[in-house]
Amino acid sequence: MRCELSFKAAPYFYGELGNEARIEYEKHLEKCEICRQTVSALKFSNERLRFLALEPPRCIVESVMNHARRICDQTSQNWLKYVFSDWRKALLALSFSVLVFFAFLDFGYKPHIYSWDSPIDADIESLEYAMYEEQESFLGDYMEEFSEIAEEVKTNGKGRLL
Amino acid sequence: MSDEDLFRAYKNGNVDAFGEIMNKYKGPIYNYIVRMTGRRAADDIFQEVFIKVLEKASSYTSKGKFSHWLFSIARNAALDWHRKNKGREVSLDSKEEGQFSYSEKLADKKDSPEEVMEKNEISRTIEAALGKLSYEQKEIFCLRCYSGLNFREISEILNIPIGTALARMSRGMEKMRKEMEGFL
Ligand SMILES: [Zn+2]
Repeated sequence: MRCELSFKAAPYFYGELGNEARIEYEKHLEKCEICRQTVSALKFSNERLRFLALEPPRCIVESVMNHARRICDQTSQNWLKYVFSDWRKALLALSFSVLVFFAFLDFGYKPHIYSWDSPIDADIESLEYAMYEEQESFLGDYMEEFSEIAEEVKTNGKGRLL
Repeated sequence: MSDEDLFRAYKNGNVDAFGEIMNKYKGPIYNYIVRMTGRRAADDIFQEVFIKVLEKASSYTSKGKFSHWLFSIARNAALDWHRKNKGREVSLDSKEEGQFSYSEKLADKKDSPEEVMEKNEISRTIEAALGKLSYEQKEIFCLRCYSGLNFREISEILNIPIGTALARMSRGMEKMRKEMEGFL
């Protein structure tokens, strides 16, 4: 006895049927003994084979890993060999990286930040600092005057402006 | 990290990345080969497959799934062996091959003699059922069981249309079902 739909048993068991096809096949399973048995046979054999699974001999796995190690060592050696195959190439690469390094330093140099501590212009106060000082003294005077008025209001009941 | 990333890392000289791949796939590949060729030949073929993976790394393009590529190498290696050694029975439980007995592995130490006997019978049933399949039927059955690839991907490895792959699997399962009838 065979069933023409039994070819769907395996994709059904492994979850490879689309939603619609799966529902349709599940309806078929309810009335088809052959397909039910095929699905059971798949389940049974897969479970048992997993249980019976063997490990490869450790020495063989180790020998493959040693081979992999040799290849990886070669890969990194090849890379170094490529870079240093020619001393002129290596020298060129070195001088280029030195150039890039100094170019980076130059861009990073900001004179307006360092000028405070710079020994060259230690005595020269920058414009920003002069403005800052001016602002401080102005605010200082104003605050002083303000606290005097506040004191007057407290003691006389009214300030000189009221 | 995906298999594909790990393999790319190996290609750049990272041996630990290959170690991870090995740990993940040594079981599935070994058991696939054991089922297809028998235990005696399996060790050599297993080694040959992984050496090929290491040495032909450049032929793997990251476009495809790594496991797809790996199992196609294993499939070809087992098929080559089969073509050269046609007629040799693939037995996993034969004492004359000096093999490890599957029946022994099945039996749990706590099992009563009756349970041991029952488990041995299950093991023999599986062996007998697989023994009924043609090489092509067993190939598709074992690829689906061990590789985790779907039937579409397997049909690509076998270079056959998906309909043919499903029909082949179905005919194999028909034989398996009949052989296992008493257990289902
Ligand atoms: Zn049916």
